Amino acid sequence: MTTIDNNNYELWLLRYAEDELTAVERETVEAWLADHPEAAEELALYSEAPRLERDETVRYAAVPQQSTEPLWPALLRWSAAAAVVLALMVPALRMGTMGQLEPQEPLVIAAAQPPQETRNSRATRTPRAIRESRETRATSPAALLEDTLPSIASVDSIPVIPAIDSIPAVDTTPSFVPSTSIIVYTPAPDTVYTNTLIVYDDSRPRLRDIASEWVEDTPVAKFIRHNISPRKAVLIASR
Amino acid sequence: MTAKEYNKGVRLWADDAMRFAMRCCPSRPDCEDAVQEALASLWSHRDEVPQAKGKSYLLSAAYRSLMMALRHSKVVQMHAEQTVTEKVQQPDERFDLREAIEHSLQSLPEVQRAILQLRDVEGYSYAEIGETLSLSDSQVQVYLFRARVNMRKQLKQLGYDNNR
Repeated sequence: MTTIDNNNYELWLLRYAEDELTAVERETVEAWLADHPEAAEELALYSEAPRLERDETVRYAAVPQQSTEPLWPALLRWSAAAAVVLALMVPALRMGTMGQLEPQEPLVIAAAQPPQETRNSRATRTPRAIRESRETRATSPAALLEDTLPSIASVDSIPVIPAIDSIPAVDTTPSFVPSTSIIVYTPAPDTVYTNTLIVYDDSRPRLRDIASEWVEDTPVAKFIRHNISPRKAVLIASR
Repeated sequence: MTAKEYNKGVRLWADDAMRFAMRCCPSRPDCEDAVQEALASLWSHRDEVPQAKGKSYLLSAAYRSLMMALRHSKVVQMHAEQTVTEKVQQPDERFDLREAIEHSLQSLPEVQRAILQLRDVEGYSYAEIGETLSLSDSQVQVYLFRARVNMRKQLKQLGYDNNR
């Protein structure tokens, strides 16, 4: 290491405090500290500073926590469940009705399917609401990630992509007025397009919809339509 | 990294990533967004990221995302004159030591808080911290030194003279 001076003394002091210096280097630092009491005071502050501790109360809620329950109660429950299933299946086997039993869809795969629209729900929704529902699904990060999923779904192959950020169905009426300021953040952080509108709140409006409906021919709308991918637009809108 | 390794990693690292994000930014929604984006990024780059580097990649991605969000919120604040991040607790009440440490941390720049978290809680080396935060070893050491000194000064101002 080079000689100690006012430009690099912090490095020297840190290594001194962490006991990373040789005996000769330690003597050099101590000699320098004798002439620089303010630096010696900093070294004392550094040494007295408390170390941070892990805060176990902070959790990422979207990921299911590992169970700390002992294994045997779970095994007991599963055994009981298996016994009940067997007890129900035996009469069915005896009656020769096994062929009539419908195979059940695995829960994991069922959970990954989009909600099915019923005839009633479609009938009571406007065409615009139906279109927006489709667009929301098509541009949500979760939907995009589904495209990259392995083709055979299993418990281990389905990624844990927590659903916190899945874009909720947005109200058909935007919660802003045309005069609201809009700020568009581009992939290059230094370029900020300021023109007219955007609301950054929990409603998380979709930029592409905003662009098409509210600022049809402005540079902002053109920029969004031609330069921001649907995924990027979703990420921007979700901030 | 396989899908199985990814899922295992998410369960192991998501809380650490959240703790790291919360250390850098007091707004929980912003932190959850950052961790979410980091997880999505890890999933899409899983073929390039080995299992051993998964956590480091996750923390790094969360940090980048958080810094972008913070820059964004500062600009929005400037334009819309509204507060985006949660207010920091004011020092006009009596703190216990834990609260005092949290308060003193809030006065530090984000990068220094991030370094303290990675060093003290995650136990990272200077090189690993530098890799995670895109800093040189020397920068990491200087920021770490300043962070501890400034934190200790803040604690003194709050009346904690002999806390070790």
